[in-house]
Amino acid sequence: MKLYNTIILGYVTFGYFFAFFMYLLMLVMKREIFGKIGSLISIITLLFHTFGIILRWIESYRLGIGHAPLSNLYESLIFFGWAIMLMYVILEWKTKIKMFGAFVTPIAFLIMAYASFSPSVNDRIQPLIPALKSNWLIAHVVTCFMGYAAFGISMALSIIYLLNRRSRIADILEELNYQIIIIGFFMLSLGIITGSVWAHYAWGSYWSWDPKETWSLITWLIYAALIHSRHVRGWRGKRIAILSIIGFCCVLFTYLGVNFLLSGLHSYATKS
Amino acid sequence: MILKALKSVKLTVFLLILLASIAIIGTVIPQGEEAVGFAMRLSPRVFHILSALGLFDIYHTWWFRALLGLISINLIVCSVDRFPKTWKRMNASPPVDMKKIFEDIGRDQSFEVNGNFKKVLEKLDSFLERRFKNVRKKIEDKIGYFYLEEGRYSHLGVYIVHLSVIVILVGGIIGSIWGFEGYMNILEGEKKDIVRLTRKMKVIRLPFSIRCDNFIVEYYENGMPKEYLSRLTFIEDHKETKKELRVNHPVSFHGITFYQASYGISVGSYAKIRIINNEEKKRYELTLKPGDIYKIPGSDTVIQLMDIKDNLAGCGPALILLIRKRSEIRKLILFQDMEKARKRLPKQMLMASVFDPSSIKPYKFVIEDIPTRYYTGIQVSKDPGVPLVWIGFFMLIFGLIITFFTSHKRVWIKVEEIKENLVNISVSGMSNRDPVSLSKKIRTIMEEIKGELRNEAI
Repeated sequence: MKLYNTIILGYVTFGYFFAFFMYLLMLVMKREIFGKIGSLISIITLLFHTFGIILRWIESYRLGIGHAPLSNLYESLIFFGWAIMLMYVILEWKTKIKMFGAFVTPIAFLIMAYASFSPSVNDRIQPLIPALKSNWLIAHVVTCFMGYAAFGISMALSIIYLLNRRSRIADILEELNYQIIIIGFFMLSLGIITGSVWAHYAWGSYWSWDPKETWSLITWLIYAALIHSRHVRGWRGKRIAILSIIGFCCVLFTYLGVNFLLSGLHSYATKS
Repeated sequence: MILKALKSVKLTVFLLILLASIAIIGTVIPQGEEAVGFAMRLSPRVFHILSALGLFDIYHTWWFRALLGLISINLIVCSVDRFPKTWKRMNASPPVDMKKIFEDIGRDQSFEVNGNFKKVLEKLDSFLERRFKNVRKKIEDKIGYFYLEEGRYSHLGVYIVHLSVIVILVGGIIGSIWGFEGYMNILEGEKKDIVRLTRKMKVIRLPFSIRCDNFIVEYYENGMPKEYLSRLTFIEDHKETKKELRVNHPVSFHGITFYQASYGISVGSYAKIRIINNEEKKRYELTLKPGDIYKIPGSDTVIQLMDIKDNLAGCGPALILLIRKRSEIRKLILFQDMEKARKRLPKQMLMASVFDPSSIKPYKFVIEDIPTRYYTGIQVSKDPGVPLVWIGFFMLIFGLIITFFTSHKRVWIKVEEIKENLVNISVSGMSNRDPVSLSKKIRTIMEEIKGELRNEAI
């Protein structure tokens, strides 16, 4: 049976690259029109991306092993890229600031390129092993990756902030960055809680200090420290931006580093 | 002095970062059972230092728990210290005719209507009374003020979040004191009531026993596992309760929860052996359990099955037999898979008579069958702290929603007669956080007032 989802998702990668290119042209040539083209490409690509995910879901049912496409590294990368672009498109629509695109679309592009073209990432649809056959799978993965996506965008905003600390938009950036971090923190909390409840039903323990669990807690603690230092100690701007970048490094380590460097219960999220 | 330190958020941030750093160490150094392989590669001195510091089981050391305790105390002290102020701020009732709030309002925060001042005021009053709760007002000759507020409880969100962390930690403590975690491996067809505890060299006996009726592994077409299923019978005073145990679907019995964790294959409780008498051309087929004795008819040879081994010297299942002929006693070890034994064991060793199935003349001993059975690996746990942890999780989510996504919005409305039949209405406000949602609120209130006043032309 021929499956089309990976082909579509492969093209989506290029879509984000073109969007990135347009946003970059906008910044370099200082012409608004390229920004508009970039937004248009982003939205159309996101639609195809959504379609690709839905198609993968449908095709898994056609293979007789139907499940939500959230079960291995490939599928999680695809969803991660999707969540980042969804949040970005909403952010652009709400703030009307297009320059963020030049910093967010390359992240989505890299994620999609890694998923689609790395020989070490298996893109086949595989059936669910018993440990993953749970209603908690969707809730856990969706909340975690929404959180990761928000933190990814926050990192992009932090970089923009550090490059534009004296510009007019610095204050807006700083406030926006914080709002996104809050969304990420809320989603990560939900992700950890759903994971914990799931672990209780699957393994008999809601917390067993498995490396993935521990790293998600470390990430949570970093962002908790960020929120406290901003709220109570009044940290703003540069310090928050740097903490956010550190936080996203923890996110990446929780997501990928743990799988490749440390062993643990989440072994099904590794390459093969 | 100490209290002052405990009140500081500087300490909180420091402790959070410290906790994160220690947690990182725990993921770099293998913990618990996984530490064994790592520890063997260390020099004895390094091993002793790391071991004394508890670095192979960081999360259960006294100092890690003390750190969690310190964070809790810091959390409680901070909250208790700040709560009265928050409570005051939350319930503060600012003056209704707060003139300052209207000082530099945006153009879009006021508008003018044509109409009699008294009538506009009346309409507005009845509208606001209908629309909002607890509207306060102050009406003078040519000017009127209204005040309303929303989301006052938003101040409490952060306390709910902090309380939830304490609740979760208390749940964890309760679990570690009054709960246990262990495992049991039960062979198909057998029953057990002993649980081996993890992380402790201890066993406990359940007040009931569990029989594994059978264990099933299902596979997908591509060979990946699809389902692990144990059919269990819980036996208590001859009363039997049947339950099915699957991954992700634990089973509870008398407050103890059982989880499908692993499985394996083990030899059964008996073996089938064939004895061939080459001289008399006779065969004997027997089924023996460990300990069983069999006398070969018409001879003075007695054989006894000593043991059935799962995996002897890495060569798979094997039988250990004792063979007695008058006063001579010999031991015989039979491998089920001779090929495997030949590959794994040195040739000279296998030539020893103890491995030679025809070394006892005139007999030859052959394994007919060593039936294998599955055993099911069950994780067993009892954790009376879980409901509290669930409550804590719920409070955490609820508290975060209140803290992050609601705000205490105070709104003032000023109605002022500019001249005969021209009235100015201004709306302004303030918020404990989230200025965006405040201005949205002000905009909707203005739209509603405009709509209301337009509907009933004055």
